[in-house]
Amino acid sequence: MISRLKTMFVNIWDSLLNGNSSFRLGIYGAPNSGKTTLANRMCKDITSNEESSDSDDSGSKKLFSDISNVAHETRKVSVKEKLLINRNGKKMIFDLVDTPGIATRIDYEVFVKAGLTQKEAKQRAREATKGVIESIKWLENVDIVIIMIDATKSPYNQVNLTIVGNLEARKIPFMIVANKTDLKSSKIEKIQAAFPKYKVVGISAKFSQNMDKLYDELLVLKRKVKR
Amino acid sequence: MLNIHYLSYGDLSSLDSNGRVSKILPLLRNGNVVIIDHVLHSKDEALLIRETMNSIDEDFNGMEIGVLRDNVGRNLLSKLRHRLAKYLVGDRTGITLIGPAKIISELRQHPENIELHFNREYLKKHSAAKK
Repeated sequence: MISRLKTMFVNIWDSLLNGNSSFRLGIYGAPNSGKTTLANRMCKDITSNEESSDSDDSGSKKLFSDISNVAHETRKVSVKEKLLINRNGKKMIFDLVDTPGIATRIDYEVFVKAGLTQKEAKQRAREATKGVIESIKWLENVDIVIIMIDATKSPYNQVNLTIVGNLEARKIPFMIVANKTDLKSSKIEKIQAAFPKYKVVGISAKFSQNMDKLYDELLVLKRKVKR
Repeated sequence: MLNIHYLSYGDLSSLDSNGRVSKILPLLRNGNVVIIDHVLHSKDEALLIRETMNSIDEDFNGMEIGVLRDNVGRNLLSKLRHRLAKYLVGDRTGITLIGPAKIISELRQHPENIELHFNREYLKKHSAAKK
């Protein structure tokens, strides 16, 4: 009850001070780039920083969907509302939108190879196609975007470039996050070379490395949100 | 047999986004690799991905797409030429390669080239069927 009142008070106070303080943050990227891992990490970080009305009995923030090595684990857009981050006295209130990975091909046989039955694989493929469509539609509903790129893979993937192009065209502020920097095969300099116009933040969402930098960058982007 | 279909700027420029996607998608579904002599607008690309997802079924499992942008040289003449092209057709100088995922097993994009890896089994099967 107290935490709810506190969140409500902060919301009102912040919106009085800055009309644009609350925003909707979308996490976009190709499948298996670590979008849901980041969303879950942010939820955990927020719990450790602030009390929140969306916590479960143990006090932990409720998390997004499960993660796995099989592509298209997240097949629906999910939103956590009114998250609150406090960075050195500067508060950010936002809705966090975790989106299914955007792909140009979906082959149920890949899921069969990963151990699913034919029926399960076909169902997963159907859901995955709907997820991609939903992700693209949601581009109209976000104020800031984090583009997740797997730093162990080539960044010259048309999905990444299409997302960047669409955000530029819609004038939506975004940052490029190179994930999985804990892995030896990660090459953040390659991601930076592919997107020379933009600052690339390297993180490991799994091991919570360099998350402070990501939150600082988010504060910078927040100022660019147009309402 | 492998069919390659060429679409020029003139073929697509008079159409709206839906028209452009409606022209490209049936070609992919029919097993053509499509070469477009310019870069599609990113909104067209997003629409193409969306409509590709809408049409996935047992026979069509999507596409591979890659874009090679015109590399702007450092010298003045090259920059002027690029600016002129940009003024005339928008920032569209480059080429777009799109292929059905059943035929293109992988498309690797690099800053200065694109590698197309064909699905040998598919091509073998279809060339055998033609014989």
